[in-house]
Amino acid sequence: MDPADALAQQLDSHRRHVLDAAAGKEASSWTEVAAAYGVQSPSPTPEALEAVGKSIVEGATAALKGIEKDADPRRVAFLKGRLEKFAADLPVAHKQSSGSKLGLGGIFANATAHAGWTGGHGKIKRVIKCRNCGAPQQEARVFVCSFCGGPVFATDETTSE
Amino acid sequence: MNAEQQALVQRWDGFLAKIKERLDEIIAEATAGCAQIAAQHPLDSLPLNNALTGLDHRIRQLRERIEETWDGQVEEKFSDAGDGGFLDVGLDKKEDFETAFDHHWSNAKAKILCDYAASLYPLAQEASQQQPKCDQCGAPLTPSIIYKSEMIACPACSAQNLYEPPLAIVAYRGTAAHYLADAAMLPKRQAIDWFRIEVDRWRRAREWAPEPLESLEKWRAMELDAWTTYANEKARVLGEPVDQGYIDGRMAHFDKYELHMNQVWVNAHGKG
Repeated sequence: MDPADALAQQLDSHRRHVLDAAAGKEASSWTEVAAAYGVQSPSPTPEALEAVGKSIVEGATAALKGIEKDADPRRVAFLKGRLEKFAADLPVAHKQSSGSKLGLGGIFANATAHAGWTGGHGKIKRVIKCRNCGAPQQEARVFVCSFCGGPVFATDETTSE
Repeated sequence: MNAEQQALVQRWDGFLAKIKERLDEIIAEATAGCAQIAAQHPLDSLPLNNALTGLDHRIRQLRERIEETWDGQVEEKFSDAGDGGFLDVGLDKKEDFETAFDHHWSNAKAKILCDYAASLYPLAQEASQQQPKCDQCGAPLTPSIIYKSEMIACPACSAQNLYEPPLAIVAYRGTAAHYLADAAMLPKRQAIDWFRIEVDRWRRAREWAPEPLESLEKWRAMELDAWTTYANEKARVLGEPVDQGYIDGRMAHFDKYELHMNQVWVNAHGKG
């Protein structure tokens, strides 16, 4: 599994743990769970949930720095997109999960857990640049730099160095 | 129908009415919840589809209660209260209800998805006004088709730019067009469901006589009409010609797996 995906899974379990504690579905009380994230709060107010979210994001961001070089850049971009919204999303997800009379709240809260797959998509344009001299690609499907004559992308030999 | 039978039918109707009430409640809450999710994630259909998958499961659980109650408590009573004909009354009521239940949820889902599709339209319009620029020098680029990816050579600096259409346009063309076309087809698809139920009951009343050729021809015409409606609506939304190949493909599948299995049809029309 890509290290960024493994980290994303950990992020999911933190999210579930916090939301369950906020809904009173965990063995530990909300106060204990919040304290474990360094937040002192007697009840799961939106502010407290956001503070817990920020604490989780801090930890995840530090962990991401450690694995970033080994992970797929697209998965990293996706995870970064999630982390940006993570803290603000927790109070919203809690409101959704606790506001249902029919028990549908969990469905709505889970539905938004993986929002943001579009993070790296939809960019209007991209230019491939030579890895040696930085010159832009001049001809489609030609990957030899027209300025320095070197390969535009890293070859197997160069990446294994 | 005697008094005992009437009482039994009333109790069964009462149970089904409670299920319908519950379905209405779920649909009301689902519609509001999905609208909120769509508003939160206007360009990302994944959360909305995740929610609908979860709701599908909840609806299925509710629907299963009909079968469980019928099997466990009701069927025997209908069997004991009359001859085979009375059991059919109960079975027909159950089948009618289940079909209406499915259609009610399909209509609700179609409305949720069409509302989402409608919300994408202004975003796609706005995105279509954006001027793509060269990533190297900032000069304006002109895609040949705004909704397709392509390599564009910058007219100013010759850098090759990979143009990717804005997400709102991709989402509208990719998902919204399908949702709108599917919703347009839905009443026709549901009419086919009722028609097939009617045919089954006609056959049952005649000791499972083969379905007449005229009925099979009507079925095929209804299928063709449904798929044509889908393709026409999609073409209208996308501003493109109708995809006749799509209609032909769907009908070839229908012919192969429905009509070519039927001896009456094969005797009259062959498998061509």
